[in-house]
Amino acid sequence: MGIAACQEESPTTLDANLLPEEPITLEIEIPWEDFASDLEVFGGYGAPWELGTGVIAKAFAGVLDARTLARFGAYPRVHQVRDTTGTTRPDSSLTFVGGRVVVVFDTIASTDNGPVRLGLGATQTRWDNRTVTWVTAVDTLNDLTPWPQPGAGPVTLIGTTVWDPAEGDSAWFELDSLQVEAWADTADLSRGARIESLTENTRLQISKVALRLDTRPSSNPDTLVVLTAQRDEISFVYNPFPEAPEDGIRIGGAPAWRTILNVKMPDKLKGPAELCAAAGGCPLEIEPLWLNYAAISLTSERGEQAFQPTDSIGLDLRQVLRRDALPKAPLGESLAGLLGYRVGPDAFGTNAGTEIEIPMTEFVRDLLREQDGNATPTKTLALLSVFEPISIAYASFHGPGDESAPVLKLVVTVGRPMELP
Amino acid sequence: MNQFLRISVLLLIVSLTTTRSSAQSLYNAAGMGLPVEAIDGRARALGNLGIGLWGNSLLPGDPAAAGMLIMPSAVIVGQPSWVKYDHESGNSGSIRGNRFPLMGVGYPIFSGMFTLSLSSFLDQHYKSQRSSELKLRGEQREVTDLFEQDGSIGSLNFGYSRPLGTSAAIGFNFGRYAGAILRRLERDFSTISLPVTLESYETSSRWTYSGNSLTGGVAANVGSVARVAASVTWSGNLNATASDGTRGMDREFSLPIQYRLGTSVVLAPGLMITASAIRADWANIQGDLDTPTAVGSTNNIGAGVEFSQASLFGLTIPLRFGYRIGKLPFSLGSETATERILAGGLGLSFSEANDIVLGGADIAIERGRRSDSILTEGFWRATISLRVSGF
Repeated sequence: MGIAACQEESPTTLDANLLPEEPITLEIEIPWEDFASDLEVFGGYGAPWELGTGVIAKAFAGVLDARTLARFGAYPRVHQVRDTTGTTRPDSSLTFVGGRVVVVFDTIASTDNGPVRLGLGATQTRWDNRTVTWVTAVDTLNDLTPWPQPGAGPVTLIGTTVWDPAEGDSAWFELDSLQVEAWADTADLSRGARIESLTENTRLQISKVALRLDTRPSSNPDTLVVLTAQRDEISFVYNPFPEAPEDGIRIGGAPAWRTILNVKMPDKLKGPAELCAAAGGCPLEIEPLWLNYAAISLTSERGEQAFQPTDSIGLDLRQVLRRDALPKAPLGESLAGLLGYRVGPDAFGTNAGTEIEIPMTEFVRDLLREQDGNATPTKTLALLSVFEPISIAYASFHGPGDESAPVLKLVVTVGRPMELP
Repeated sequence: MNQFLRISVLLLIVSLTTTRSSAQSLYNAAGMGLPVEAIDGRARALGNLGIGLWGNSLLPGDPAAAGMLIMPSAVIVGQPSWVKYDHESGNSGSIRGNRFPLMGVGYPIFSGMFTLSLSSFLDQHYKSQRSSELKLRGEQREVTDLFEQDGSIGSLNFGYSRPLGTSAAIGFNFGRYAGAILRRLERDFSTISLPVTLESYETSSRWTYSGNSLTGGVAANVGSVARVAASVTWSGNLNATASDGTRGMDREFSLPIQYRLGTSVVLAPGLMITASAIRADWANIQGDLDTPTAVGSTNNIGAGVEFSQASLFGLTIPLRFGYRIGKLPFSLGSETATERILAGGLGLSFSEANDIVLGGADIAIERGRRSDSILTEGFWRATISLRVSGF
């Protein structure tokens, strides 16, 4: 039917007089004591090996020592080699005559700009990559084995080298054929490389460790071929392990820290006056759809210097589904999105005191929707890093009981009752 | 009878499955909206106001005319329009939309004709927007308020008409106003990020309309050369009842008594002229409106001529021309808005028996202009009515 085919267009006028009275939009800041309580900081989520990177430090900030442990996988057994007649064929009789451990640094996440002296040693004690710490080599079920020397020691010293960031992002240690032979036995659980810093007040992040093998093939003994043994395991140990803050908020680290708090909305709002006027009087119950924006606002602080972030940290916010099951309580979906809310490292150093807002509008709307009579339910939130663990460093924020305590920031719009013309 | 029922059902299905009626004027935003006359394509083409037309018609404003029908009839009217507007603020643009101002059936019973019709009364659909500045985080930020009013008032009419002798008829309609209005305001914060985009604020209020009306009319033929008809519609208050959850109040609006008068004169075989007038004083409603609105009396007149023996390609196709002028009850400016319409149209007969049209269509094309002190609208409007008759 022709009439039905016509496109509909609604008449739209820009005459502001034809609109209902303008709604009022206001910012409201709710102090900690009116919206949050029961703050607790839990540590121990994840382990350093999950990072897949290493950290080395020596008396960094006067306190932090860290060493990286790595194990290499099985050496290559066959390689395509051109023989003396010029024919390329597989050679399974390889002789490893030496090699080197190559260490690649994350220059952004490292704290030093000048040359750093590094040491490489071979571990002598059986150690477990997943449970290794500064004092324990193995901490598994029915097996608690301490290091003979705290700090993954003792080791057989292999060599030292100097890494100068101005010359590149990597350093290497030469290995003789005996050491190469010693690390070839993959059944030996004590094998491993311990990398440490010998220069004080340094903290470096290792992004990659590789073992390059100098190989002499049987089919062409005059040729030296360099092969790579894949890195099998990597972790790091450090000391001291930071204590949980009494009042502050801590997020991140390896193992990671989480901060838990209870949140509820105030039963009624008693101001500001403009809001009361628009809503027809106070005290006022906020309706969920009046809420345009809600965010928990944290004020960053300088944490322990040894664990100061050197790269940005993604902050996440999730609902704790069962507080009584902490620290292993299940968490809800992220309220901060896939990448979380990223905060630069300066916020915990030179720009300490920066206000960081983590939006949670839909969460607060849900709190208001579940309002039972005059009271909103209390829910528990966890502040954590998007990936756990993310680095040895952690983010610190002011906690309750301080003038920079977290606040709940709201943007609320209230319309006047809409009448017919 | 079976054929009539089939066609009636078909018309009903068509009416229910086509697009819903929508706005056709910015004057919908004035007061209680823009009146929508429940008249068919023939009356539109003749500039007629829906009363006193010679021949068969089923119009709620002319209840006596139904008494002169001799067999069951049904009519449905569709009306697309294209509007261009200029606002004194410099805002101009165009809109288009459809509506179905009338659906009706008549069936002979108790020596008269029982009628049932659904007709439009006031159209209230429009949108509006404004920009505002807010202070957020110490900075001035711009937000946009989007407003939409979606509503209309119609009337469900039950009527009975019967002839008085061979040349006159009386009739009445009991009307029940119905409809709803939804007013929805949204504040759009999409330009503000803190650090994520703010959620929009939305609020809405809904009212349902109710009320009663009674229309009485008479019609008389003067020999076979003229028809004169008159009718009066009395309306009780129009009640707007707020739905649950609506913060607005219930309201009542006074509706005016509407007086209609119309005549048709056959000057010569195949040549008919018609004239009609309607008057309604809306002044009493002004006190019921919260928004200051210019309210006036609607004194509308229209006249037209029909050449019923015109032919095209061997078919008899009545040609019609008309003109009407009048005032709108509500204006956006300080002066009463006026409306002038020049119309033309034709009739098509799909099926005839003994000079009685069993199935046909009337098409009208109108070129009109509405204006007050701040808004001028020029529009093209087509009206297509389909009618069927027969047992």
